[in-house]
Amino acid sequence: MKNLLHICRFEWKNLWRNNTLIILLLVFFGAGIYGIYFGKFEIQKQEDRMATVQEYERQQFDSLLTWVSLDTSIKANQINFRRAVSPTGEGRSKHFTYYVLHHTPPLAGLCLGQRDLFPVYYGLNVTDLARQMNIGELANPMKLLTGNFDLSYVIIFLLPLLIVALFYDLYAKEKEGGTLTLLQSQSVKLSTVLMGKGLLRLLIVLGSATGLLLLGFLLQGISLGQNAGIFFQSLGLIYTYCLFWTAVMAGIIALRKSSATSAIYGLGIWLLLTMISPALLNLFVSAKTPLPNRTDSVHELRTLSGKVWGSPRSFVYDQFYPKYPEYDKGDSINFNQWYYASFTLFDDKANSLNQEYESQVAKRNQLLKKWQWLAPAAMVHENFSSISKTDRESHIRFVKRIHEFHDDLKNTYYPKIFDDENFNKTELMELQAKLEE
Amino acid sequence: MLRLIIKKEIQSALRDTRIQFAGTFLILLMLVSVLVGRQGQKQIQKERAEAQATMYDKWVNQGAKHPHSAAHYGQFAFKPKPVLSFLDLGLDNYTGVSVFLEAHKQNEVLYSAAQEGNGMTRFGELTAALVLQVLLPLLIIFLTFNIFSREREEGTLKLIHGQGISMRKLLMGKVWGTYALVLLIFIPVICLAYFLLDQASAGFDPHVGVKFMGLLASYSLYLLIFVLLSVIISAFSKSSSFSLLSLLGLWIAACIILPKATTNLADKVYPTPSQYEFRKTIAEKVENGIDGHNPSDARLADLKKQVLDEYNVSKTEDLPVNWRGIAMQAGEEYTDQVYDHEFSKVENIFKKQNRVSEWAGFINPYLAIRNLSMAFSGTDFHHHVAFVKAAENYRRAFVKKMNKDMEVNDKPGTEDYRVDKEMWESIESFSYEAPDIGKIISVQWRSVTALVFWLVALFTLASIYAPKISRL
Amino acid sequence: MLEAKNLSKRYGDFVAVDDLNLQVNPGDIYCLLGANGAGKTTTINLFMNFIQPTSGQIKINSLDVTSQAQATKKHLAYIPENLNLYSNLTGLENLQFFAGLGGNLPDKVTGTQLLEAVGLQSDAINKRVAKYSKGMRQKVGIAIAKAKQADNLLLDEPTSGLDPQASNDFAQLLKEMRENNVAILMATHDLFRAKETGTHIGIMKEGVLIHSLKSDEIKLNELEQLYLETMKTENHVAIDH
Repeated sequence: MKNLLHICRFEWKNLWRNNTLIILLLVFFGAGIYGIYFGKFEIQKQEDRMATVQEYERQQFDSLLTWVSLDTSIKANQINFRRAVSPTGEGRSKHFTYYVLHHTPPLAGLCLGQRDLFPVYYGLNVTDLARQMNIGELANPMKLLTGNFDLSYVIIFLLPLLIVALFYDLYAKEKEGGTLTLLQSQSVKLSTVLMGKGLLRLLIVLGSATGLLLLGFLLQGISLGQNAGIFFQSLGLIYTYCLFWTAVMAGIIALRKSSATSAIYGLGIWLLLTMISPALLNLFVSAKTPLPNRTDSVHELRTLSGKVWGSPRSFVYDQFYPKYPEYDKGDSINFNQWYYASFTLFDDKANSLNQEYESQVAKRNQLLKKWQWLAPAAMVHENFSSISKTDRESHIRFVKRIHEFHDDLKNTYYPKIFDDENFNKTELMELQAKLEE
Repeated sequence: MLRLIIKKEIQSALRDTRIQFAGTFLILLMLVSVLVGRQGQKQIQKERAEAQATMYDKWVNQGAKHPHSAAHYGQFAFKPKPVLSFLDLGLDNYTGVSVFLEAHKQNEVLYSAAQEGNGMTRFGELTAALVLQVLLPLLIIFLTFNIFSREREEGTLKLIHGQGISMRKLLMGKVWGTYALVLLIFIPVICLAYFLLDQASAGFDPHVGVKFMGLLASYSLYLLIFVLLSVIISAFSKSSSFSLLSLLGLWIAACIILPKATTNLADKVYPTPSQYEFRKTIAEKVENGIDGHNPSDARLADLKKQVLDEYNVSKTEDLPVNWRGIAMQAGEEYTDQVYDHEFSKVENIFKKQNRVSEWAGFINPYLAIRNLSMAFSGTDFHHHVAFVKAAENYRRAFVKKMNKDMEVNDKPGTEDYRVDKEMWESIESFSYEAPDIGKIISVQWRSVTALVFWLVALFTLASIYAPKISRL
Repeated sequence: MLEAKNLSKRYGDFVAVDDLNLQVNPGDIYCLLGANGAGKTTTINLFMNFIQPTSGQIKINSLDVTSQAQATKKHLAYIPENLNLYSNLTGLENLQFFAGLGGNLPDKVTGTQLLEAVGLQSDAINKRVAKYSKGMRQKVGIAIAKAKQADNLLLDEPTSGLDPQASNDFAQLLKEMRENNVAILMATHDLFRAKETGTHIGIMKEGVLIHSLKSDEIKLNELEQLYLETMKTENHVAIDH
């Protein structure tokens, strides 16, 4: 142990005086800080969009609250009053569009994950959710393809390169520099000396990784106190990844090849594990299980829509009332009642279809997951996004929340629609409370 | 003399077991990517073609209906999987695959593969493009990093110099020798890929042969550039390790770091508007007029007056045509106009963003080949936009036909007007033809120029500085 | 004390060292002479346990080198033909590092004294080794050996390429070490230096130690004569001690 410390101490001097280490660390931290900055920039863009949407939503609701108190004896006020109080809206416009936001999880800026692929907010009213969810965010596909230069990218791609660069000549340098024989003539085993030198390099790597993660928290203003849990989770993941690469390099060093050969081996394995193996895996999986065709669900909905419009009454009596007896108003049924009743049917159909698709997609993703160990870089990226809550699962949870929100809306609107009643001011205030913070 | 040098380079490289291993590995990777990728491409295209046929069949057999109901019933457009997409997947996983076409509404092309997959998808699929753009250059680096320094360290450079061979000749000999090896690795597999093309998908793209030649030419240029660059750097490096380090550094910068940084920069310079703003602007402009002073009710009133005047009647019920049909088509056309206006804004922003990486091809040849390769494989942004526009035009055409039919035939007094199969069949199934080679060159000229620029610059550099090699 | 008993090293058919018997006592400087490929370096490497003997025994301070390699190295210092040190560290730091590996970490003052004692210029002590000449590096090597307090020193052609002044300095250092009862085994090409510095001289040819004699038994010109004759003769001559 004392010996290891002794070796580390002198190796540190040795490395520090060599410009290579400084250049490597400068490049690594430079890339890291750029990544942190870029991640923040991307997240800020999403947050700005959400803020705009939210402000618009509040303004709109404030208008409703103004309109509800209008003097309806003045004819000009009547339209706006109806817009505010009628649960089915006025004319062709529906009552109110609520925006549900996928709030930014604290670590999103460090690992953007899949977050850039999905909308971070949906605007929805009480009509069927299925068609309101059929929307994407505007994004240049070129940018999606190139991917994000965020901190997770630096850690997953560049950190292993740093490890390769630091470790590849651990043995070869002694041999090529001629110090090997002198080392071998000492009473300490060569393996101990190499271990000490490796330990120092590992400490440098772990230190840099920790430093960069801390810098990420600091520069993005993420509270460490409130997110200590995910900080340590991420750190644990990064450390595991570092140890994995160190083990790979230890294997290469054990072969005792020349520095050029070791560098080429290191780079080769890096290529294999970060680029080739995930790409191969994707190639096989997408050839084996192509993604399901989702247009079927749109087709089912339009067919259903045609049927409903064809015979609205029979649909309400045969399908809607048995399912939702609380809205059963007997024979008296008006346009809005059957019109809104039809939306529940669309959603039921869409949900069941969607579940089918999701289970197919899940099967495919399960297949990817099963073989993920072949692509450790992708595995770490997936885990990092999962910790940062920016993976596909997080989006699915968000969609689930939207469904709950929509159900909640229905529970408020439908009784009004089926009782043919309007909202009063107190009820509108209650609705306002539903708006997201 | 040149031939001798070339021969010697090829021989010594072929005898190096590491090169043998790496070369075989790359060939195998390309073979796998070509074989499996072609299988995937074929299957996906088959499924899309079937889906297109099924959906058209449903359109034809939707039963007797009012034409406007049919316009609401709508149609689908499926993007044919580009036949060369297995060579370069390009944006294919990030652009949607199908769009629902209905009255009044421009839906988005949805369901991209990236959204459906887990994070793994972001690592891309193995294609020949990945091998040729990223991995083969690395092999070139290994072939060339000590091509000069080894001779210098072993003293053979002086020997060669003593034989009276000009350094320019030596340099070019090494360039062509290495290049011959590179061609040996990539040409056979790529040509094999061409013979394996899925004939069913090739039907969607009559220009596939020319595009393939374009692809082949671009890669040949790109790889030559990389060979030249590596040999030149190796020639002017004092030691093997220095040239290896600088070449690897360049490779990492060019292929790993810069592409992301360039795209991110472009996004910062030309910010993308949000879906919300886009839709809101369209809605507002449809409501208030493109210039903001032509509200929809005023437009409708004008149109009504115009139509009534034309037929010389005083109310719409007296018209010999269906007023609602006319109004709907007018509304449709106005919305289209607004949509086109806004869509072209977004399209231009994306184009500007992409242009940054096209110009950056002059700094980083990797970006130039990436753009060209996607373009020739039919998986670039322009191809996607071409599909979106084709689908939208198709939508407009069939919706217009429905509206026109309603205008002319569903006259006042007609009860429960319906049309049938004959009408549906009169609208042909959606078909899309990819842009031709001329179109591709016209939008990708920057990347083509960038490659040529690199080639000329490097050849010039090599011939000017070659005599200085022996002095080092 | 360095001992080799019936030591042989073969590589297939090739015999690098053939039945070597050798003993270097504390206070002896044993110089091995011989042409390239005579087996001098192989002998040194066998003592260093860099390679293992095919047969026979090697002992250092009565410890068996093959079975107790690590333990023997405590008593051993080694200076190869071209002593390379960490070029980014100073002479003092190199000394501290290598000596410290054996647990004898000298502090700055002791280290400086050691380096001054071997004749390294004071202003060079805290400069990076990258700027050192070969002679200066060899001196650091000796200082390392001294700091380790090793009582056996193995040298593989340490003076080749040194200028006469540096070579002489080096010889003086060896003599000093000898006075401190260090057993020194040195492979060399330099007859003059062997006669001048060594207490014993061995001449090797094709792996066989042909002559082994005390250096005060022979004059320099006789030694040269003997050496040249040995190189000429085809057959191995019996050895006289």
